[in-house]
Amino acid sequence: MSNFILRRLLLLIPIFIGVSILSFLMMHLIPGDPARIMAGQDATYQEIQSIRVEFGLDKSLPVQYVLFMKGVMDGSLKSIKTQRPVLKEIYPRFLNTLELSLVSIVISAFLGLGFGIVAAVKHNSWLDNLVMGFSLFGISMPVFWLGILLIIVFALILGWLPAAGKGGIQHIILPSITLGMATSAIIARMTRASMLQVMNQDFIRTADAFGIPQRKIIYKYTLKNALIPVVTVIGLQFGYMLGGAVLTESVFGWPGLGRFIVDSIFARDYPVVQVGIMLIALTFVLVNLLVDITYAFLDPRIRRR
Amino acid sequence: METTRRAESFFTIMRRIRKNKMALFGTYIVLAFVGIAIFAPWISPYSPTAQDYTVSLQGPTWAHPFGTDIYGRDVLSRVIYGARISLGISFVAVLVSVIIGTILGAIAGYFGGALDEIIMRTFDVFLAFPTILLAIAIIAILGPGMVNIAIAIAVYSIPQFARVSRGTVVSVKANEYVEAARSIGEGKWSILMRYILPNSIAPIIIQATLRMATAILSIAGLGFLGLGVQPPTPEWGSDLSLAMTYIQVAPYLGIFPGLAVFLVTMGFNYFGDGLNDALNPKLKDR
Repeated sequence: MSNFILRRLLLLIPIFIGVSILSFLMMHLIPGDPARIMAGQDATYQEIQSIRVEFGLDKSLPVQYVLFMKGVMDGSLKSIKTQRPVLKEIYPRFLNTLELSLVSIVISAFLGLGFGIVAAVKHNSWLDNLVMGFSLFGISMPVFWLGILLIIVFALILGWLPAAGKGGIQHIILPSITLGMATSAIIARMTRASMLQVMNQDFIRTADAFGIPQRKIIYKYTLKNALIPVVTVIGLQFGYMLGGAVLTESVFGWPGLGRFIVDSIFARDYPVVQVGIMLIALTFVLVNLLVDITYAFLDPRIRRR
Repeated sequence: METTRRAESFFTIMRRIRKNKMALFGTYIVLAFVGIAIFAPWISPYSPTAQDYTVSLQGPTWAHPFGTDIYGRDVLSRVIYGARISLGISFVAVLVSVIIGTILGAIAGYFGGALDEIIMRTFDVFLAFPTILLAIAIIAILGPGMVNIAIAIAVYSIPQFARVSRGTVVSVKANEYVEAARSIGEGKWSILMRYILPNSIAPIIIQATLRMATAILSIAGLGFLGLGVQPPTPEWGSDLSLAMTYIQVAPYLGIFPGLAVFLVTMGFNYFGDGLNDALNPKLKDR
């Protein structure tokens, strides 16, 4: 097991480096002179020069990359707008995104598992069709539109919940449902498929032949085996949420990292954009790794590969 | 021989889709929106950009069934013209991704070795970014605009197609007819192009259909964030973002452009799902 984890950790290194290089290169892929772009349209020659020196843009690319990574770590890489270290700016927003994603994944895991199990147990019934129909519905639903509809109904018409901002529990209800809708649909589909697959296996038929009660077969034997791929999907979906939360954050004015990155694009605050995107991608990769390890932990067969 | 076999399988697939109500439903939705996109100038009651401040922010009426926005523009006409933008960009982006991704993936899967490693490890880095975020990053670099949005979608779609195509090619490569072609002295490229790729096409078509749905969501998402197609061009996402500004006074503005995005996406998802079932009938219950 530790061997497996070590191997996966080693595989992570090139991806980490690749992601950081790509984030670093962003600035240089923009057509035109990076210093001029960062300084803004009506910057003087002096201002452009000082930015060029501050960001080391007069040095060679590899040197700049090292300086960039060093700057991220020691806080010398600063937001152009606020002049505070980029990581300090990003961190509280990242926590907000994390909070929203965590609440969302818990809600959608419950909903998805529940619907998925019902659909599998009542396979080919109207209930199954309903769940499958709902799941394709959830996958097709644009998050921002779902958010708008929820605002119209629950904030404007009924007046039960606030339409925007961050505060108490009532503020996180609509955003987390919005963000979790597609995910719960995906989890429901996966749970159903996985349950059906396990139900067709010999050991379940044997259990049935032994006269073990249906409830026990479903909840003890089937579910236990069917959950392994579902856990993977839940983990992967959580990773997607961190990046995908940007739209939900936008609709509900949730002060998360995604929205901050987009605002920083408009403000041409490129260090924030670069580090923000890098941080989300790295977290995403790390979550995927944790999922892989959990999977191997749950299913010993994987480790031998 | 070859053509009859293919024609037959085409009709078999069509028959299976016709029997699948969901898939049929999806097909009709997609066809309807393609029709709307093509015939937009003839069916839309007004110009999508014509402003008329005398009817600003009016709810649905007979003259304006979907109401009017803050500039007095007819929402119905904007939704109709929006289909052109959405379907047009997503079609081009997916087509380009299919071609580039499939070929690169096939090369990686067929030749294997160092080439495989280089291509797939590079794509792994791209796949490390959540899709919408990668699209946002590309727009941050290139700036908004229709071509750049198509590029942004292609950048995250190409690695996905490459993965599918590589996987399929590796499994198709193991078939006896490939061995047979090699034994009679066919060249590597000719085997790849004449035998392997044509037999790997099914999973790629399914993937392309489902990617159309993702692309449409991305275009609208970018538009909603203000990073997509810029106003006054009628685009569903940016129209929704405008609607958010006036949601207190005119909530109806938030309904129809979103409904359009939802319907087209659902159409492609149902269609792709049905296609998947039709092409792999044995997998239906998985």
